[in-house]
Amino acid sequence: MFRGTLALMTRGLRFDCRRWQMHALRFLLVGFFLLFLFVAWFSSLAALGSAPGLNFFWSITFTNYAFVTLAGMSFFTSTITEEKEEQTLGLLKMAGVNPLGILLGKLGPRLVNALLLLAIQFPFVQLAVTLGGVLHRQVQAVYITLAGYIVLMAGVGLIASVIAHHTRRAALLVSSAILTPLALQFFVYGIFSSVTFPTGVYDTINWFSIWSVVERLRTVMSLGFDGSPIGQQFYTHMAAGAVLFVGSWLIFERCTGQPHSPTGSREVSHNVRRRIRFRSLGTAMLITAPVLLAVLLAYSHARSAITGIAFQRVPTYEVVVAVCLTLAVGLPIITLIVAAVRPTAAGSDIGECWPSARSIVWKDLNFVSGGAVGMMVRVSLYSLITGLIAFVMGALSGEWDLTAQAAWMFGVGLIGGTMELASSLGRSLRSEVQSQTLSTLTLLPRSIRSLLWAKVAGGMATMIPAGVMTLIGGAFVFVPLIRDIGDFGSRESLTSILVILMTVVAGVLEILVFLELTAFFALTIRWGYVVLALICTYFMNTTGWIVGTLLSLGGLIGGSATGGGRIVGILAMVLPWILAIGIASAVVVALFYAIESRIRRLAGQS
Amino acid sequence: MPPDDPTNPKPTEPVPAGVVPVVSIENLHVHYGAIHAVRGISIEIPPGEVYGFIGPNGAGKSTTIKVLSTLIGHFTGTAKINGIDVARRPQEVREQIGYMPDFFGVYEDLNVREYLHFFAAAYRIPRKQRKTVIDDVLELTDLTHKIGDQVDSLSRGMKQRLALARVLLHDPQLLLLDEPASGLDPRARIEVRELLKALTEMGKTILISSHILHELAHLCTRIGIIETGEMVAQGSLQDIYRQLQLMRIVHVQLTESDDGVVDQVRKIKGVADVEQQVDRLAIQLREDHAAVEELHEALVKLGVKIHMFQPEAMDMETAFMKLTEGKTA
Repeated sequence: MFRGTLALMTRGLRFDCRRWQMHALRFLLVGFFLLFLFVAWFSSLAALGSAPGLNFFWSITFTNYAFVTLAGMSFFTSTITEEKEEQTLGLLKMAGVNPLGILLGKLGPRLVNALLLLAIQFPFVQLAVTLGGVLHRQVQAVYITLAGYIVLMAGVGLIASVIAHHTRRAALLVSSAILTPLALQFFVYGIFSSVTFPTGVYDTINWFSIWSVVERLRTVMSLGFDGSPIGQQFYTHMAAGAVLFVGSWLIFERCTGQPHSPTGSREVSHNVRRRIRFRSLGTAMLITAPVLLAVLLAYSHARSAITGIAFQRVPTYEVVVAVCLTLAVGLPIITLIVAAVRPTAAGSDIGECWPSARSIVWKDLNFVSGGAVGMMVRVSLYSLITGLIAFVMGALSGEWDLTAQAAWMFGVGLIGGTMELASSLGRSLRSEVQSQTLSTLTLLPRSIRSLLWAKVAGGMATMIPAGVMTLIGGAFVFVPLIRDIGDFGSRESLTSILVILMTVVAGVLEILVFLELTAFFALTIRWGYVVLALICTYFMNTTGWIVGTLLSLGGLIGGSATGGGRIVGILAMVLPWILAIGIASAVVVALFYAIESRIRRLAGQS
Repeated sequence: MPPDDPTNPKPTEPVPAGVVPVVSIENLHVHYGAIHAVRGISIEIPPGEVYGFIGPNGAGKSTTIKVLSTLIGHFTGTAKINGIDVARRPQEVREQIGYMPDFFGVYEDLNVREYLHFFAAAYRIPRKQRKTVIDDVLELTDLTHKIGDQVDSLSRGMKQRLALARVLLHDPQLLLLDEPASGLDPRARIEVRELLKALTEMGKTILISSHILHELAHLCTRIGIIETGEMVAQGSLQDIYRQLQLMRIVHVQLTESDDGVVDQVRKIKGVADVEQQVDRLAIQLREDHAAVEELHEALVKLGVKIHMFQPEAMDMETAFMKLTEGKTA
């Protein structure tokens, strides 16, 4: 058994050594550290803040936490699925390597790599102690906490990889497993900050908090920490990691015994798609609109009748919650009814394909992004989120107001929509590479550039619900903001407008960079392209933010020293933005050409 | 150099004056980094011809076809389709070709109808004509009964036919088929061959590469044999045999085959040599001097009783093996 395991481990380590992505990841991490060190050094020089070492260490800790979480969603999720996708799992079994050997041999190199990435930082992080504000004990505790977290992530990734047939599905499982507690945590904090519960509830929550890495890091980084470097979180994460490993071992044969046949599941999804079309969804939306109005009126009247509060004084958030929940639940039900009632036209399963370049939009919208079913689910989901935000703010914290609600909607819509677009675009390009259809696609009588735009349009169609949410939120956030600026002719107003405009442009450019990076990585690596793009964008954003802040500070210090006054102040404020916009624009153009060239090359190879 | 020198593989049947060749390649060179994949290939294919491209793996067949299909843009020399430069006006070229790669992918989530409708729309076939066109290509490829099936559920042979149906949607004049029969069982291979024959009858110009040498022998009007990126022989099948001085072997069993009879057989026009085997005579016949039927007639005239007369199939594999050494670029 161990011979096979060792062979697999050696192969895994060698393979990882040869992959440029692993080196790029290390390089990125080193880049982050250098940047944080530079900021700490500059802060100490400029006497900004009291503990540069603590700031430096906080930044590193947060980056590590983000890296480990993202690794859980991508790096560990392909442990077994990559063998399934390459159809080599059967060969490993035939070679006499038993399930335990396969799990150890496959997970081992990844775990070693991840732990090594953490271990090599340890000597350098001691600089934080030298810079001041952090104790050795805290450094040790943080790294032990993170090591435990890596083991947990490895376990979660492994079991998802055993269960799922494809890395994409495994990543989805892990993302849900990670993000659901995070979202719950967020809502729980929201609830606890405003509502008083019995002590027993707090005890239960505290018991659960020993699982939380964030809680443990917060405790360790608090001033005067003198607890043990090994906390309960470490033990629980190690134990959970071990349990998940054993679980993976136990279900291994059951999950991998039969070869996966996607035809059956495709048949089901095809039948569902055939029944629920955009036409049905559109009809359902038309029916839902008056239903929503009826709910709005009925709820207000019923509330008034029961509580005696005047019809006009019914809290707005309650109406928002009622409408959103009705939409979230009602739309799928009405769509299903419409789909059941409306006969399916013979010879046209999901409707006519759109002509010319729009045919690619049609294909991607229907077959990559889930079609009408996906759209229906998205509308439901975003309505549910909007309702939840209103509920938490209004019912639990009692501080609901339209601007705050709109700001949340804008943020959730923007982030959700961007992630959806990135995921859809990446998936669309990756599936073309995987199914070797790029050559067929590029042979269509149009330029690669137009094909690429068609793919973007296909992805954008999926983010209509998120886009609507963003627009509604944005309207309620930005319109009052612009109104507050006041007199457009004054110098202060112009500066404010300029800053807002540049913020928007820089934000849009940053989103474009993220999307292009996703597209490029989707054409380059097999899995984790969204995560890698996210890391790179985060790195670029952090670098830009730090450099911009330093430039502003430098400008302000220089300006006040030379008596430059107000103009220098404005320049110090605007210059970093101009620089950021210039650099981001150059990156956007360069990435666009890189994607085009990559597609051409891959099409020639396939 | 003499015209029958295999090292000087000029097209033996040049395109008639005034006719624009459908495919025209001149001194094509393609590099993949340090690898010189195609070294100075020149081909001219007139309209309606079926040109077979033979060579071992890595010889440069697929690369040449990819250049013609506009998928590879980095090359030197000229490549034209109907007089249109492939490198300069790729989009115009794409309208006129149908390319089927050796390992092609299909969108497995779509069913046959959706798949063909998608490509028909992408090729700008008007909405009203789409159904008729799709029905026609499905009938031609014998896939009408599979129209509602998911692409994923089709067998390899059917996927191959579906790919051919897709290639035919926009009615291209030139078909570039890179090993269309690879990986198919004998029945599916015969079906593909019959389909290609039907396309030839429709007047399509076809450039086809294959490892199944006999198939090309049955199908192609001209053949080019390529190795290590160089064309080693080009022309009709007979031309190539002539160039290689390959002789047809005819196995004959005579009721009496003594030395006298053997000497008489040796004197028949076109016979190069006669080998006396245990139960038969193996006659080497120069086909450019005498046909097999003439040999039979001559034997009958000798007055011998023929128990068996079996011409050995013209073996393209022999030609292939003789011309190539199995090297790759």
